[in-house]
Amino acid sequence: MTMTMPPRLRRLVLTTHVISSVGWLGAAAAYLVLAVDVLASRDAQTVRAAVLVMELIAWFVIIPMALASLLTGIVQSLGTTWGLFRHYWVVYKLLLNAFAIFLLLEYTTSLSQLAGIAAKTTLSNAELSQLKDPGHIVHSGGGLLLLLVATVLAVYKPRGMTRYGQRKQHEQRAKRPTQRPATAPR
Amino acid sequence: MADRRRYPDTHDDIAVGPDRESITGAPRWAKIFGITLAIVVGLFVILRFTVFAGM
Repeated sequence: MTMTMPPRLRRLVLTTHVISSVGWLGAAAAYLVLAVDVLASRDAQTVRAAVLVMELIAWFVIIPMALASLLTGIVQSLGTTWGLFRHYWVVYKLLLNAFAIFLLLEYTTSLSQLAGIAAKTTLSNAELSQLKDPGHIVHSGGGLLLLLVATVLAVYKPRGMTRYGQRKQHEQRAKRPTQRPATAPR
Repeated sequence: MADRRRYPDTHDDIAVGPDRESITGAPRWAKIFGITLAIVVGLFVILRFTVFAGM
């Protein structure tokens, strides 16, 4: 079932989707810079500060943007004739988004534990090396890559309908009146 | 030559919807993309439950 949204609402949802997705991408890029700094820095204070800021960015910028992007993306596809499962590019974008959010939530939970360590006034060497987790770069770099791929899919919209999409298209064609009668009443 | 709009009926600037496609079966890009995505997710699951199981 596809319900077509009125143009004004569609533009509003699309604008929100673009803002949240671009915001997510930008925040992920900023996060990656901090993650590199955490791993590269030898100064304990810098590492602690960066981890604390990373936690804040993750919980209050990246996760809200990611959830908004997923939600508006679903609304946008269900509210237009694109549908959610009719075109491969839409399905893949949804999968990428869902996968990225799953990883993000899992990672951010562990990040909060690290932030708890970083908030201590003094750190042992073991704790400092715990903060310098290479997972910071793996997660933010991987997430950034997924978002770039999703952006390319959204812009290029490569052709290809799923079987479900083809079936729906046939159904719609069958429902549509084929010809206008030659002697139509005026 | 002007660039032909990919989905002519869509008013693509606001992503209203596609035109009528008549492609049967998954296109090559979709197959390659799907396989790549499956490999990435599979690798993640394997790593998650082996190498990073204790983390």
